[in-house]
Amino acid sequence: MSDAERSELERAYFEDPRLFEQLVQAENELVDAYARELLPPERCERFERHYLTHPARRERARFARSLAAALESRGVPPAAAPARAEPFWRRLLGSLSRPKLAWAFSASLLLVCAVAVWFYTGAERRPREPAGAERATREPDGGESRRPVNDSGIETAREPEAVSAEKKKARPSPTPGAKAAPVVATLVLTAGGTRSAEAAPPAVLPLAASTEKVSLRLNLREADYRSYSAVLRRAGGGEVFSWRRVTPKAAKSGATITFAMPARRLTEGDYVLTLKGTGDAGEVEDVSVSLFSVERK
Amino acid sequence: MQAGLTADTFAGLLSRLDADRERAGEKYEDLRRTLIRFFEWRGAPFPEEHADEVLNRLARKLGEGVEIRNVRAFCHEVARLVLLESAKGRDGRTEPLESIKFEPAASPDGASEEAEKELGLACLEDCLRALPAESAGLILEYYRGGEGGQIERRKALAQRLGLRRDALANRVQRLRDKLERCVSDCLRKKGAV
Repeated sequence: MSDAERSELERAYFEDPRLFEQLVQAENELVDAYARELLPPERCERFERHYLTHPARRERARFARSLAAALESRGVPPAAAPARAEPFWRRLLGSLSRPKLAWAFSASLLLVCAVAVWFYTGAERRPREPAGAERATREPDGGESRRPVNDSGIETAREPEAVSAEKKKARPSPTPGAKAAPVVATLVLTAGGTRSAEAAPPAVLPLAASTEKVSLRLNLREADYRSYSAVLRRAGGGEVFSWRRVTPKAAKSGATITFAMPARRLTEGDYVLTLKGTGDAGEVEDVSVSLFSVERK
Repeated sequence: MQAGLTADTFAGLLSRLDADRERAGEKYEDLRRTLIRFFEWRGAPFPEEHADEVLNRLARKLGEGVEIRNVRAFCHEVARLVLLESAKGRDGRTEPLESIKFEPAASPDGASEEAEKELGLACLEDCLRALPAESAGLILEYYRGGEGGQIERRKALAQRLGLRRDALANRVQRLRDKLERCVSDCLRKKGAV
């Protein structure tokens, strides 16, 4: 993270107390995972070498150990059972070695927090399903179609094909001179579930120079808010795009919301899509946060 | 009230934060907490002292009649300045940041590790007892594991308490901060830190 990005993140959390709370909670999750010995040895060693260099942070880790011990002494396991939590933190820390993220585990806790939030929230996916991307999409009639989807759950197609790949076969070839439909890349994400989701790398959205539109399809387990809105941000950075009053479409299991945007708004990097729901009383809550990376080809 | 502030200046700061005295106090604590973490995350050696310095400067500016439209944004800018001063050793009290080398915690041997763990646990139990029973129960319930997903469990807890999930998380976070301070003080008194 560059100085400018760090400053931007700081400005954002000063102005938005909710973001600040998310950062603090992400830090707690990291420290709790360490205290409960859920970090793999090499990550644990990194944590000790960098995070524990500050006296205040050492005290925080010590407190987390005491809290875990207090829960165990009462015969209740601490939250984040090892079998589930480890993959989450493996993702958190594993990502730090990804050169494109360039978020090496440095002495700056801010860095850790930014990444922690990024993964913390992104891990809120339904357990026991491929995190980040689903292999199949549902047609409006509820039937399940198997479209060519790459390992990241990406469908890339001209816009009409995004509606139905099969129909294209029966369609006559476009007449010469007719305007070609825009090239659309679709990324299917799954929202909801527990934050201790199973391990999986963040979804990757490869974008070719010819791609004109991006469609982010978010599958929800339930859609019980009065209305929804969403914001797409660069991880640790500013807002890229937002959508207001979006309406989910009912699916066979749960609902689906599709967010469309121009592909040119996405440069290479990591992104966080936050879905917010407005309840009947007007209260707004974060419903899910999904992460993905964009790779420009 | 912090050292270095007159009662009037402090009252002016509170009234700028909120017309309601109680809400102003909460906002003041929130702001101070944000500032402390800012300095801690930036690796500053004395986060609390730096945070208080920022609040002092804010209060003085308000006392001078300076109009500050966005208090939190203003505090961020002042915090960056204080951090810079600290890094350059200009505050006359702290060493330059680059001259301070925090060492990784020494790895205790098995026996002392066990003793340290027991001491930490004893302090935490004392601090939990010092909390209202409802608060102690809440923090233990929030962080417990067990059957079912964590989100679902916390959602159910929030519903039971009639709170929104983020309000519950914030309440627990404040309790955790309070407990952390209490345990640190306890360990310090027992000479373990």
